[in-house]
Amino acid sequence: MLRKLELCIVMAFVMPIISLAQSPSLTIKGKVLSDKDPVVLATVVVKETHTRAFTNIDGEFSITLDEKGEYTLYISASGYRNSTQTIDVSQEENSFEFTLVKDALGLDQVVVSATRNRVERKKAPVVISSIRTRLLNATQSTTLADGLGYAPGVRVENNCQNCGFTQVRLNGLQGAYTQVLLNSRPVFTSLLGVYGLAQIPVNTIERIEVVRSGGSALYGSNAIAGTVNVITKDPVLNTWEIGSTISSIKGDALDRNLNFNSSIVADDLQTGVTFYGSYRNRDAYDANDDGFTEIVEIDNTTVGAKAFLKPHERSRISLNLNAIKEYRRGGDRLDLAPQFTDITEELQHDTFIGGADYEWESTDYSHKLQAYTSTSYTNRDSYYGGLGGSRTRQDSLIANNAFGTTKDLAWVTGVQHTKSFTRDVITSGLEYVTTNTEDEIPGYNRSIDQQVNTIGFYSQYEWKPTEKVTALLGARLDHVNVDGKYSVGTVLREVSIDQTAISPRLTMSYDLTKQIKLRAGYARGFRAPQAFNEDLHISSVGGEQLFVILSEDLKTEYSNAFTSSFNYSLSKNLLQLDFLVEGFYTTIQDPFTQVSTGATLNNGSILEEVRNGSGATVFGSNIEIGVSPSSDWRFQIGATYQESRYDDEQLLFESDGTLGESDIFIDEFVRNPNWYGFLNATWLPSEKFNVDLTSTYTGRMNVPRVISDSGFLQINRSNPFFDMNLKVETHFDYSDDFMITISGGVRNMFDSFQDDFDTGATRDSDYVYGPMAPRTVFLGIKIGKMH
Amino acid sequence: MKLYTTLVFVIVAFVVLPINAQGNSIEWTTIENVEDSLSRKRKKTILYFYTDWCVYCKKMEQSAFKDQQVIEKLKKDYYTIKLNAETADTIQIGNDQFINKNLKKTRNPTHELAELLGSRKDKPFVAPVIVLFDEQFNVIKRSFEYLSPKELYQWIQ
Repeated sequence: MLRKLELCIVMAFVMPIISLAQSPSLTIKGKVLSDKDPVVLATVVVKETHTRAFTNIDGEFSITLDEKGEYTLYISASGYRNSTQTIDVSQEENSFEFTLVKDALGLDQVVVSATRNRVERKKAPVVISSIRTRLLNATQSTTLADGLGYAPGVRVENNCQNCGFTQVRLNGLQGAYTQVLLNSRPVFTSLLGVYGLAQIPVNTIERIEVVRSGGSALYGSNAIAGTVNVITKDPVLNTWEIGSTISSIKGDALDRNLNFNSSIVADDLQTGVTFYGSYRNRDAYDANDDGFTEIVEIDNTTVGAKAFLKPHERSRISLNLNAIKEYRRGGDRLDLAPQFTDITEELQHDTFIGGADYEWESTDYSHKLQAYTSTSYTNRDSYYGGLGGSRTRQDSLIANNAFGTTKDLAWVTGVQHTKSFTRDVITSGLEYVTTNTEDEIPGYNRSIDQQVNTIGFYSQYEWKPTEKVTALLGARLDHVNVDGKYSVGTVLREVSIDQTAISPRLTMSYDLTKQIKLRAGYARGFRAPQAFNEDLHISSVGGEQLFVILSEDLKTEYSNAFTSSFNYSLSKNLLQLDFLVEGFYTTIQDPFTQVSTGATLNNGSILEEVRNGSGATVFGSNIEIGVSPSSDWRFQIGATYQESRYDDEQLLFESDGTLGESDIFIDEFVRNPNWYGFLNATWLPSEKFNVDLTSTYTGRMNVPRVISDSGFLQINRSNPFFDMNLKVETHFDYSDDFMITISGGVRNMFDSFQDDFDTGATRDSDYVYGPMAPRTVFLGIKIGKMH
Repeated sequence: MKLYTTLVFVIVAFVVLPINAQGNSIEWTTIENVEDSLSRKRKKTILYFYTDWCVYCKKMEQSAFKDQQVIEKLKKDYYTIKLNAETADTIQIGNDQFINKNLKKTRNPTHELAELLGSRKDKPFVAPVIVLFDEQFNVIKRSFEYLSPKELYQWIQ
């Protein structure tokens, strides 16, 4: 019957192994021995029914069966050779005895399921770069803008000395091509996008997911360059934390930060709430001692709360409320009222963002329904103006009237349904977005009155025909209605369009081997004519204001984006390695370009028009390598090479005939380096101590600079920058309920900062490029119950 | 001034919050001790597997395992063993030794005992896992998920 083992049958009674009581029809009781000694915690598995039992301290076990017949038992125990036995269960009560032989050579393994695979393999068919709390912490990021630059293909820049307007550029395309989402909702309106990146405090962020390229068919066609999804924290433990950081910018300006967050989650995990708040006070910084700021003064207080309630196991209601109050000021003589200075950009933002979400899953988890609504309202008081270097009565009059008000309201509401089959998934949804922007500066006769309504329907099919292949096929149908009246000085423009567009998307991924994943994709996107974030920003150039207005007959912009990538992931013993090479190619038809028409407004201000360009192509490659030889060490390096070209020469400045000035044409995008990248290294010897080195590299780029009153430009070639930060952190657990973390370090230790800022009252305040701050030393402390 | 009042408010509201009344707590012991104790007095046993990075384990330690009713019931009727599923120790039960075979092989090396008692078909070991043994040290039932104080109390009846 069997090979080397002795077999003996003994009668016994049964006890259920799983907690649910069943009325047993047949029971097997047994004993597992080795050399007459009982084997403790041996596993006995019945092949046919997958029932599993363990032997107790006396080597005994019992199993319930439904039918008589022949069964195969697998018996295994640590240190013993595995044994397979066939038994005949023919009576009500059956009893068996099994003997195991010691496994001297270690030839057999204990029969258990695979151990957990801890490699962070990106299983998604699309490449997603995740920036987690750990990295935000390591880079000493205070706001979202600070932390974004450490993902491949992402660059964040400060583009205005007077107001600190930040832009995120994904794969070489300007800020407006990226859709910023808050918990997957598009509540980042154009206005919020101007300053918003620098307003979201980091202590509320759980992670940021960046999906580069492709114009997501799920999130809206404005995401031509990609999406940046800010996901806020979802608590489990009761925690509280208060932290404070002080930074000194070149020993000259102080940046003070105080923040707190606290979470309470009920014992049954059904309800919970997180509160957070942050206060930031940053002095203005003058880099070249000309009396005008290069880094603006900021006073920001943000509070918010996120609560959830689970009415039953498979559903969840969540509510979030955030309020941001921010004051920023740049220019000269910040202590004077704005109309008495040469240049001032003063902004007071009052923003409220609130939303509610409902999620429900069916009993078999195959259906998932989400309904959401979110709103953001910003009330902004602005001052863009000043005496501009002269002291005439006319100048004073204009300066006194440069105050403006803006009201911006966005409301998003939608539903999404996901159906999961054995392997495939279908996601569909309906979304309605309405934004209303009113921006008035009566003194310049400048006004923007714009409503944009979009109703979109999207559907995406995730198809897994085999284990190795995944395909994503999706499309989004949008109907956009834009109604806008734009005026500045005597120029008046109107946009009134009704448009329907389909944005399809196709992505495929193939697992060549367990370690190698190939991906390729295509997506189409569009942007209907409307005022985007840079258009709502007013610069100061040559002592005058620079306004942006839409041209007549602006056509919709279309884009086609292709991506492909090769991803190799290895996890061997303690080593983890991830290697990604990605190529991207995007063509834009009728791109929106800003053309300077010179000082054409009657008060001498410069007007830039948004016109359709002839067509542009952005293409390049990202490479990212992550290595972690053990859990103590982590290295990450990323580099991007890109080219961005206009099909025909693109007009940047339109001359008005002034002597010595002519039209200026460019054939590649400005402010786009061909090379850029990042490098991070972390040493984490223990929970108590860690050292982080993070850095970004920005290659040379063309930056336009206004050199005359007429707005005439000069294209300068910038130097490369290498911005490196070092942070050291130590952590003490005073008790289970109280911990302290102390950190310190330096940001931009090589002081790699722009050194040719324009000076004085007539400067070009948009002539800003490169790292956002010079060398800054910081010290921070956090106390609380953090884990 | 505004900063000061905000700070005071924040400290009063959030420092006062998490102070727990201590009361009794569970007396955790080891498997070897239990083996010894079982020969003198037979009681049921709870074996609780946790890992350092498991958030739900911490939540259970802060709520379910601090619940007075749960503590009393466990004290009366159970031996309570707490075991780090990633321990490097060799554990002896009876004549058998259990070791951690994954020690240098993966970042989160699961101990043999945890793999054995904590795995299910096609599912790897994930903490928290609680195994309930009867007086004869037979495995009666296992829990693989987070249990609230109420749920744990029901489970150990």
